[in-house]
Amino acid sequence: MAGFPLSDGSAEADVFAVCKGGIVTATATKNGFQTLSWHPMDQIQSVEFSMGVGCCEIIFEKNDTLHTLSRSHAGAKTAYVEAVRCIRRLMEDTNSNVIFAARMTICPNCKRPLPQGSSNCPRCADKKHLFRRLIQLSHLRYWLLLFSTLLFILVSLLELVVPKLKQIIIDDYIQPTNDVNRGLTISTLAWVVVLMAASNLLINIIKIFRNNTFATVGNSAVITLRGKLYERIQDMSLAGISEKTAGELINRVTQDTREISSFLSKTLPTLVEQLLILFSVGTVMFLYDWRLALMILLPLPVVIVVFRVLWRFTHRLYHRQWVANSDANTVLYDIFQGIRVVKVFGNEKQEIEKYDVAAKKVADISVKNETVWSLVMPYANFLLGLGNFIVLYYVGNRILGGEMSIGDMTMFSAYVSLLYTPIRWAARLPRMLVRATTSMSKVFDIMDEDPQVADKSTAVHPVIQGYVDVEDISFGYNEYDDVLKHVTVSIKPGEMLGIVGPSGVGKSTLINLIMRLYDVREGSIKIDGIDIRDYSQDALRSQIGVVLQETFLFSGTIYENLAYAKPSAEREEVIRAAKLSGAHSFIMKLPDAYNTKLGEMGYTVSGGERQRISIARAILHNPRILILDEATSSLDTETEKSIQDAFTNLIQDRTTIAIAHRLSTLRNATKLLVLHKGRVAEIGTHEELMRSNGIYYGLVMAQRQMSRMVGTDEKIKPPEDKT
Amino acid sequence: MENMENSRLSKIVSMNRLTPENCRFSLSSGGFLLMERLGETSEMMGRVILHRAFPFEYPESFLAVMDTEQNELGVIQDVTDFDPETRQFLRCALARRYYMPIIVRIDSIKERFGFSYWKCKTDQGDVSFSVKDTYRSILKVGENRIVITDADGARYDIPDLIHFDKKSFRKIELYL
Repeated sequence: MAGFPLSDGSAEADVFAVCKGGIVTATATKNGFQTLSWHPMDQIQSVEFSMGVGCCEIIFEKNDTLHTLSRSHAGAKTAYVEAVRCIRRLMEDTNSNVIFAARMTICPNCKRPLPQGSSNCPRCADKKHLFRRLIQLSHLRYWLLLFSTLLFILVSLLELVVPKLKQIIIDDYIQPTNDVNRGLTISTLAWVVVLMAASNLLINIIKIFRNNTFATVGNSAVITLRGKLYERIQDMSLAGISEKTAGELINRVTQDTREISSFLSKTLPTLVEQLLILFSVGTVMFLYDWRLALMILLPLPVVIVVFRVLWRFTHRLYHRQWVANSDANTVLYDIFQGIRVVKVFGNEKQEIEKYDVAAKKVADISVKNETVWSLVMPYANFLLGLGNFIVLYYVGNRILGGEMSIGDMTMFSAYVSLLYTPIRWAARLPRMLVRATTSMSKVFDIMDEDPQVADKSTAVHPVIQGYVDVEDISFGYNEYDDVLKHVTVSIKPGEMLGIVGPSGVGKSTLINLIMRLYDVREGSIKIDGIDIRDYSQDALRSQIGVVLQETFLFSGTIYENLAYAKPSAEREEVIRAAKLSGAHSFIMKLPDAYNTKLGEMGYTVSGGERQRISIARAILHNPRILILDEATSSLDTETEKSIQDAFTNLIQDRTTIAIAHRLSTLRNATKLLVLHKGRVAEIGTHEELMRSNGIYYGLVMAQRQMSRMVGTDEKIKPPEDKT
Repeated sequence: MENMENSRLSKIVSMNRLTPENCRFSLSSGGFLLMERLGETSEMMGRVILHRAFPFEYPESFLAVMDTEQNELGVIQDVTDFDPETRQFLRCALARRYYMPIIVRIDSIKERFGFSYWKCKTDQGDVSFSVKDTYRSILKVGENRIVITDADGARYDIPDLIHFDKKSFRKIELYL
């Protein structure tokens, strides 16, 4: 494995290799590698991965001194962590078969990074294949599109005839160039005009049909795509979703899908049409007067390039304005969101100044942009129209010389104007393509993501009794930093486990793992003797009740929120649950009681009311396992006490796992688990732990002091400790 | 009891400033920074890690000195508090822990599929890296200074946008 040598030369080697017997380090020379040193595995006392800021290194201990094995920039961290793991395994047992299994983060084909969690490279993906997948996914009715396109093309060809007709009318009827009367009558003229009118009418009817087709096909494709995407997002595990913000996901479902479907159902067919029109008009013009045709068609590529340059230029200006505007809006948003804070600290003047600065910047940029725009545009327009003067001169010459008729000129002008739309299209096409392909890749980014927590095909769905066994688990949200290390604990039905420890030690993490929101890295969690990875996620979620720290209530009625866990519940069940948690009393005080609408436009609940609704929600479906994550943190001691009494009923025959900072909530606990630095520090009952005078004892005494300082008395009876 | 509370609180908030009078730094044979507490009883604290409290504003001041368990042992107000030799040790330790090449010139930025692929010349050599969410990975950390974080977490610094190479600035302008 190669470490990227950092220029301060602090790494011992460029390259190191891990073998069963030890580690060899080498340096790269012109002629290959030159070995530097050999470290036998039995001489290595410890090895550790250390993360810096922007870099990382592997440090090992030999002969009681620390050495750096290799140092590299942050890109190597996955590989380094895996290497450390392999080395540690070999240190324990030199004969173990370790397989280096770092997750692939680079596409083997183009060496570019893979999007997180996905094994498909967006660059190497066969675009045609992607298109085909999209068409399938969105159930695009491409045959309808094909039909409308063909029809439109046919009709457009009709349109090509119109300028010729104009020529006939002018040359033969209105301004006949020859004195030869061809025996034409008014009635023939009338027929020609009628023909023109008829073809125009037909063209417009077809256009209506075509646009209608675009709209219907496009819309149904969008809706199908959105549905599939949303479904996929719901299937994603918590780990995957947490990496993306809500705004991002909303954009993907709403905007990216629209971008894609509009590309497939509108842009592509129109592109085909316009290309054909361009080609046919060009051919006709060439057939008539190749010199004129050349004069008109040749500058076209130049025009397109000018358009592109102009667009890039204006885009830059516009972008700057957009950013300044957005910044000013952010300032406003911040101030209004945090108006309480602003007023409390008396910083109004500062905030006004801040906004002034931002608004002035917007004004300055807008003025500058307008000035530039008004200076540049006239020249650009003139340049673009220059061709017209040249053509006019040439045509004028030909007409005066009698080689061309007015009719011819009208016809040509008509053809040229037909070219206008395809040209505008050609100029816009690259941009549209880029937007569509970017949206496409963003959508497939989600569709192709491997779910991190997935049901096995053999997933079971038994009725849970409530034996929970956590066996030697280790887990970290990061690959190189374990939050929980070798945690083991067992709980029986009817028991309550209290998890205690300082903030951030991993209590909520342990609960997340038991709920299988994440999978453990080492060890296993078993419920009723079966590994939770063998359960279907539905089985777990439907039989575990959870009250979390953040109580999220959806916008809906109070009843809808209560019944969320079990929509099929009977009204009595719901009310009983509400009574148990103490929510019923405050609900009945509201004018609309259970029908009260919650949310921004509705009633805003207080923290305690939220929690009581949350608790009722958790117990509604009578779960065998109940998880409480600081469930009573927002409640005052009186309400908490009343819920405590309810809890005593609640936890009978149930397996309860609870986290609380307030140790009084844990006095019902059968067993207490004290975590320290991610490991199990102490397990026992309250009395046992108080007697052992360890971390738990310290926490309890500290809390008692706190409550004495604040003036509330802890109602726990102190044990008979002999201190 | 009151005094116990006060002294405990003041202990929590005290800066615990490290000076040449109360500590000594040295480098181990492996190049790691070691600290020894001086005083009535000298105590070898073992390997320590430096962490900048203000990495972008004061790179050589307010350096937290932590042991391998991430416990803060004290704070170095400024490296100039120490003699030149110790200053070298401290700077060495900082260089080990922080790695942020300075971009001197941007050769190209290609945007494909939501990623942007950069090819730059830095003070550490030529690099090419990919940035995941371009707009959000470019951080403004000073009046004219930006830091770019790539998809792997590696960081790149452009300390002065005003005096930055004009052509390169053009390439990055749209993301600012």
